[in-house]
Amino acid sequence: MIHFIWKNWKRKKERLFLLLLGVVVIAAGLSYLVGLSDRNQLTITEELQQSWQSSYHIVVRPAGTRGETEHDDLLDTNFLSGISGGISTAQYEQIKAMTDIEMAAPIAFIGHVYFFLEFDKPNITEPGLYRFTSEHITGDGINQLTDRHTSYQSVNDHPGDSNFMADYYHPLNETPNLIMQSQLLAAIDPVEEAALVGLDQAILDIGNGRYFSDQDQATPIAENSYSYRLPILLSNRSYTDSELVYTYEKLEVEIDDNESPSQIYQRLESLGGQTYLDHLDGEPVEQFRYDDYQLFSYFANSLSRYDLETGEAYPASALLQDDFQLFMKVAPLAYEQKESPFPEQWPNAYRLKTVTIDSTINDQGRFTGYRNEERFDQSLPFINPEWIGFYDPSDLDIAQDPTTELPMETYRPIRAELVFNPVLQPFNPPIPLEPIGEGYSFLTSPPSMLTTLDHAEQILGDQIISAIRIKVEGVEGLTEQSQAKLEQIAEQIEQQTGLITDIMLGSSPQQTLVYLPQSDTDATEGWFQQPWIKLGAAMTIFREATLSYTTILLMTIAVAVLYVWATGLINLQARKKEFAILLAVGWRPRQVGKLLLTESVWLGGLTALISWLILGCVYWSEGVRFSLIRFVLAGIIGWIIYLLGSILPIMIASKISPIQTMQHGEIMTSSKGVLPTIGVITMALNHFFRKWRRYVLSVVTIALPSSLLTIFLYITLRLQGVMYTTSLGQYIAIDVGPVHYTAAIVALVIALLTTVEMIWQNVSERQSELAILKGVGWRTNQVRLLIWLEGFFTGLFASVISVVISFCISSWLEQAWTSDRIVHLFWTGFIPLVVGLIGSVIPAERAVRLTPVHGIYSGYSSRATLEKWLKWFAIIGIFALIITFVCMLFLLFL
Amino acid sequence: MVSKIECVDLTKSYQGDGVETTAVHKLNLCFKRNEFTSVIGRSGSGKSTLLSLLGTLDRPTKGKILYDGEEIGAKSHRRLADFRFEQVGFVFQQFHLLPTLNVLENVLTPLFGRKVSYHKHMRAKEVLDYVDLQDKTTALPSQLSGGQQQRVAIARAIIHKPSWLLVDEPTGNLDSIASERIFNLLKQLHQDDGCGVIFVTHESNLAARTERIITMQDGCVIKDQVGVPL
Repeated sequence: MIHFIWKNWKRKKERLFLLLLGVVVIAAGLSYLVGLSDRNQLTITEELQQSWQSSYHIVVRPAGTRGETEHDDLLDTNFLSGISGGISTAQYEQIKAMTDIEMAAPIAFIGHVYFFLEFDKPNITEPGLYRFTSEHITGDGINQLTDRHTSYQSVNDHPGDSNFMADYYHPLNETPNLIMQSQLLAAIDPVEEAALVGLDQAILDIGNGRYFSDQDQATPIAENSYSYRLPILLSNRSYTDSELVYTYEKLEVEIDDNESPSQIYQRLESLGGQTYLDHLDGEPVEQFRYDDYQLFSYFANSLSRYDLETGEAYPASALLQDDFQLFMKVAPLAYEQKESPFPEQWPNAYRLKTVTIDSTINDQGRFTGYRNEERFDQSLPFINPEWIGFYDPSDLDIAQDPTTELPMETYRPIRAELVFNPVLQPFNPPIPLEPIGEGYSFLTSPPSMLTTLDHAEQILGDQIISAIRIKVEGVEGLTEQSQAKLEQIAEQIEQQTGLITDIMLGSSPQQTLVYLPQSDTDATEGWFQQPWIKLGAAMTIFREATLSYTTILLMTIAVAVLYVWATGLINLQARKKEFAILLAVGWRPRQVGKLLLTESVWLGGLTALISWLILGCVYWSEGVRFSLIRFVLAGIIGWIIYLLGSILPIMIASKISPIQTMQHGEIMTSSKGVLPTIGVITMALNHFFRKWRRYVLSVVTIALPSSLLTIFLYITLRLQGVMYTTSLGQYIAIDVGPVHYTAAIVALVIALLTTVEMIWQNVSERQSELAILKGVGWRTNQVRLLIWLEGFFTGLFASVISVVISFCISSWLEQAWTSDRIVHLFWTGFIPLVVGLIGSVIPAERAVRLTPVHGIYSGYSSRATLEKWLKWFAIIGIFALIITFVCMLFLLFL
Repeated sequence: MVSKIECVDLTKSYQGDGVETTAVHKLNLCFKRNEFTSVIGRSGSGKSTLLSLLGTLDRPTKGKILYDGEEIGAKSHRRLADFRFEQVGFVFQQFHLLPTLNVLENVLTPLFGRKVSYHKHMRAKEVLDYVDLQDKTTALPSQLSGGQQQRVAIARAIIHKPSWLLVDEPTGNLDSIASERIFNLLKQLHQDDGCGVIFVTHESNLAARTERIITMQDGCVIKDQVGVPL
């Protein structure tokens, strides 16, 4: 049997060449697709996990905290720090007690606490009137806001009036140089926070600094108590950029030593008061400058009584009071939808809403900011912060890059970049925006003071938790199982507590444009981009990439099976008479089937061997993780393709009757042409319809991958919605895109081979017909055109079918076809035409080269040298393949 | 060994383009193995159809064919194939050699996948020797003349020593010398091996030299006459 097959192959060298080409294309395609599938799915998961880590799986928020942006599944990166409580301790305990909750770390963004710092006094002794200017300059990295206050101070020997009060004047050094500062206070569960981010490991070795411990037990507030002691863990960083400048200028206004403050004031008033003084030139005599770090150090050192920089004791205190006032709660930002000026790069854009604040803490009156001023009940006790230690946020177990990890605004300031000014003039490169540090601002600084929930609850009650960050047991990576489990837990939490949940595991950063209108609290107006959290994006990417990959693999296998069918059937048609003869001389029908099966087994085996070799080389040389299952599968699929492909020819072969030996040519139901044959075109068309059965195969074989290509395009476009707009998607798109197109190209090459083989077979069968045509005077180009037309008609019908299939599938996928996509669809409709035409080129050239004399002889050759050469080539080839395969197995497994 | 083939009301008709064509009509014939029978008639008279029915290549529409009294036409394809292998050797007008196989391989084709008591290659060489083609064993059919190709076809037909040789216009494509050689070869086979020969031809001069001459017209036997002893 094998001998018989070999004889048949070696004497039909062109067909053997096409068969081997098909084997190599299928093997290479499978190795790439299955090999890459191994890389693909793993890479997607790994890349998603490496590029975007989620410190927690689920975040629980109070009901009613959903914002406008969440309609687009987008969360602004500092959404948590805008939530002022809402979750009770009981709810927290309820969640913590649920099964499969590995970790539930609550965070309460309590609010801004205010305090006063007292700064250096000037050493001015010379009598006279001095202008004191205090400038608090805050920069957001782009522009600066200056908060300027001016007062006039006198120096003389007069002891002063005890009851004197004036709005712009007072004697020097009578009142301290104060600046009001605020810090954000948050409360945590020390145990859970240590587990979540390793806060306990980030404590700095300064003084007797330590982490929260059992000794920090909260006790109830004593009745009529003015303040409550809070253990405070203090951050060692300030993320703002500010400067405080005090300037003293001597004015040309004489002050007598005996003049009392009241008298001086009256004299100043008579001169024109503050307006007059403001216009006077002054001579600078002393200036104090404090940069942001100094300002923060004054606070930190005063609170801890340790020098933050040196670690030495810091006996002095710049704090005016030991008790701080709980003043302003944290408040959320409010956004409204805005059309993105560049939707391809930023699919979503929002405008930040401004709010008008009636100031109560400074003399500005009404001003605009981005967050509402929500004040604490002023009857609350003051807090008495008791420093227990410093922590360094950079030592926490979190990524510092917001594009690689879910933002932890508790420990890292949220960033934004200015990309356009208000009239959309771009900034290249974008300019980073820094937090201003005000409670009303766009970007907030992370809380610098951390206390325990137990203590905070003593003052503020039991509904202070802003959010709970949850890790679920058994959720290891981005998988369907993990997602299902998280969904189940999230639902359980929502049902049992009434709180809202968001699954963060499958999220991804997505650059979003935020338009910042002018306000009094922030220095820069314009368009900012921020890496927002796109909920579910990573999971969508994972699913879509996996789904599209699976679809592509299955469809490519389908095309390959179709190719094997087509070649098998073409081969069968060509050999029908041969099989009829064999049946006539006594072959059993099963023998014919066995013959075809043996051929397929050999070709499938060869495909498997080549696939394994290619995969082995990739695994070995590229150091890709070896997967035995996929390795074996790649080969087995190749084998299965050929075995499946042989089923139909075997079934048809079993129906061949030996009577066909007594008949001539292929059996036709009708010998009539569809059209009267009046020229080359009608002749080609009639031939096409006469041999419609075999052309149907070719048409379908071309139409399927062409439809595939359209669908790939559709999938890619759909994926773009998720992929290209999210940072993760861009990584993945690079990996997935080429796989889609390679699969389509492999499928198209297979289709091309089918067409070549089919038209080749037609030419072979019609050698005598073509020879006669040439004999009666047909020109070469006419013969060429005849064969090209067959390819053209094949392509044309394939185009129609391809467009119909694509349209149906896309409609099934509920895709709204925009005009752009219809253009894509029709462009892809041209692909079958091109494939059909290319497929006819080689057979056409064969037909052209056919001389009338050769046409009457068979095309089989049996040149002894050539056959010998072919035989040795085959033997050496097979041995080389087997030896390489064994060596490769050795390298892979040992 | 089938020694007698009987046709009882044998009818074969074809359906094509809505028209039914009766190729053979109610034939009642009996062929004996010890006879060299020729079937003659014009083109379309039903000779080849009769031959394909006798050789189980096709099934009758009506009537039956009894091989030593047994009707095997309704049996499975496998049984029919085995019957052909064991009992029937075919020789076709177009020779029907497999173009990709050389002469020796073509002769061996009936034996592929069959277990036989003799040495296949020895037997193939023996039959090629018999048809005087011992020096052409490695040639491809395309490298042979028509007469040589037909002799290969005869060698292939007789490799398994069939009881019957069904020959369909074997000389139709040959010149008179080659035709004579083929006819003599068939005659010799009949005499040497006792092989029943049914020889379809439209050459009346060759038919006249057979033991029995059946003349067909429009699917019917119009004459069944005794010829000349071989």
